[in-house]
Amino acid sequence: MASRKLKITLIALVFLVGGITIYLLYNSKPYAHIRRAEATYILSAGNLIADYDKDEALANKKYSESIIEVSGRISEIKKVMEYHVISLYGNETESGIICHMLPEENSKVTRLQKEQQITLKGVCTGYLIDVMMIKCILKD
Amino acid sequence: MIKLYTICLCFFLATVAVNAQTRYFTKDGHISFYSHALIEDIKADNHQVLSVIDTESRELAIQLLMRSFTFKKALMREHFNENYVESHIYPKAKFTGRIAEIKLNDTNPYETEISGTLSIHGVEKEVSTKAQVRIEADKITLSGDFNVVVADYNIKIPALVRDNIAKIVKVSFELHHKPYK
Repeated sequence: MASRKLKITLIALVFLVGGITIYLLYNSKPYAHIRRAEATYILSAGNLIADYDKDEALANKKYSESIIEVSGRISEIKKVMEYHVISLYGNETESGIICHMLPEENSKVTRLQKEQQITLKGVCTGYLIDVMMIKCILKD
Repeated sequence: MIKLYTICLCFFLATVAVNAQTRYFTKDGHISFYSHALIEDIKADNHQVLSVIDTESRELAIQLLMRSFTFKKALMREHFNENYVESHIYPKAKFTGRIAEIKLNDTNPYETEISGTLSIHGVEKEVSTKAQVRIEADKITLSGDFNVVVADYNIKIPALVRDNIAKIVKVSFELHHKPYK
């Protein structure tokens, strides 16, 4: 009798944990983990552009959808809707890195200035005529 | 050294006239899509849209990265990129076409038609849609919306989630172009 009760309790527990996991997984906010996640690649804006210059398909395979940490000099800061967009200079080419910041970074971004050297962490989404990043945060 | 940026831009503007004076440009245009289905509504936004207009030839070229679409839920974005549009194989969507009318000296918003080729998921389709044009001092804004039939672009939705995703999604665009320098 006791073992039957235990079995029912265990099955109920499995369903409960499974249900909660599925719910959390489905309702989780995209990139809620960015702040605490380790970057897969840490590199300079120049090197990132250079990799895309060399072979876009290969660079896409490597960086696209990865969390990367990129350092560079600010070429432009502007506000789009409720968040900021920071552009970093590339190397000798005219391409740069365009980083769409998370809205939570707004107060930090307003203290930044053009030409300042910074490090950003975010998700690389690929390359148009610049390397694109979304969900970016500033690294201290 | 041949600059990749220039090559890409030339490629991108292959059909657009060379005169920079007539060229307007944005790197942060906004395109969103909306799917209304039985079980849930899905909306995604992309604020990293590249768009160029040549006012002389009235040509328009638009490019975006599929992975730059952001969703409310992480799993929606994952399914969209991995299962439906296969962003790892087809990372970009493109449009090249022509704007029926550009009235540079008219500051009143007006409606016109845009027609051309839309390429999504490796499939090219001829499309045309009405668009609003707004011309201010140094800015040309194009806005509007049109419907995309998901199946037209060979995007397969598994039977299991058929009630979660609409067969026709509404695509909206708002592109603020500035003179290209």
